[in-house]
Amino acid sequence: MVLEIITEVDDGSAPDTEDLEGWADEFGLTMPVLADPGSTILYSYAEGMSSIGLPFTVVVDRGVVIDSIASGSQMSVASDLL
Amino acid sequence: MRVLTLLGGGLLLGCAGLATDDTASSGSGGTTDIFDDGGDDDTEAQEDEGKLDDDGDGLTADEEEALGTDPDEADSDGDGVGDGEEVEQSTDPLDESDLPYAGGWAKGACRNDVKAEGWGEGDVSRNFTMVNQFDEDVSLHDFCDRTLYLVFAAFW
Repeated sequence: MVLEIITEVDDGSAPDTEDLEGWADEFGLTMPVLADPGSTILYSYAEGMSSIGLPFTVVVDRGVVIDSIASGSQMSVASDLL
Repeated sequence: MRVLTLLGGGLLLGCAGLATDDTASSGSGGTTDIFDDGGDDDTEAQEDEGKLDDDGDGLTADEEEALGTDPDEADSDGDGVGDGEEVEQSTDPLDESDLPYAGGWAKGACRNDVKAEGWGEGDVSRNFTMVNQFDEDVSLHDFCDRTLYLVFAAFW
C-alpha cells in the first residue's frame, strides 16, 4: 500500500484538504493522500541524513518496522515487499 | 436347562421394560414425548436464539453479547456504520469516533498493539496522524498489517 504524503504546495505553504483532494482527483489516486505540514514527519525519518531530496521515501514492512529510508525512489525495494 | 431359564428371564425383563415405557407414555394423558432425545428444550431454544441476528447487522446475538453491542440495534454507537461492518473493518462498534476510512482502506486489528521504537531503519516506527483527501485523520499504525511505501513529495 502506498501513502502519498505532500509536504508543501507551490507557494511554499502546507497543503489543505482541497489541495489533497485535487491532487487525488487529477491523478485518479485511490490511495491515502496526506499532508505533512512543515515536513515534520519527513524530518523525523531524515534525521541524521546530510541531505534531503524529494521524493523522499520510506519502506515500512508489516508490523510497522522501518525497512529502508532514502532520498529518491525505492520502487525496487518496495516492490519486493509490497 | 439353566440357559433356557436365563433366556426366559431376559425375555420377561424385556417385556417388563416395554410395559413400563408404555405405561409412562400413555398413563398421564399422553403428553410425554416418546422421541425426546434427552436435551433440555429451554437450553436448545436459548442456543438457537444466540445464533439469530435480529437487527440484521451481520452479528449474531452471541457475538453481540461478547462485544457488548446492542443485539436490537444495527448501529450501536450511532456513527452511521453498522456493527458488523465495524468489526470487519477492525473499528470499535461502541466508539462513534472510531470509523472506517472513507477511502475503504481497512484498519489492521494489530493497530492498538504496536510498540513504537523510533524513526530509524529497523525500528518499529513511531506513529503519526495526518489529514487526508477526505478530511479524515489517518494514522500510520492503522496499517500495521501490511507493507507500506511512504512517498513524501511537494506540489511545485
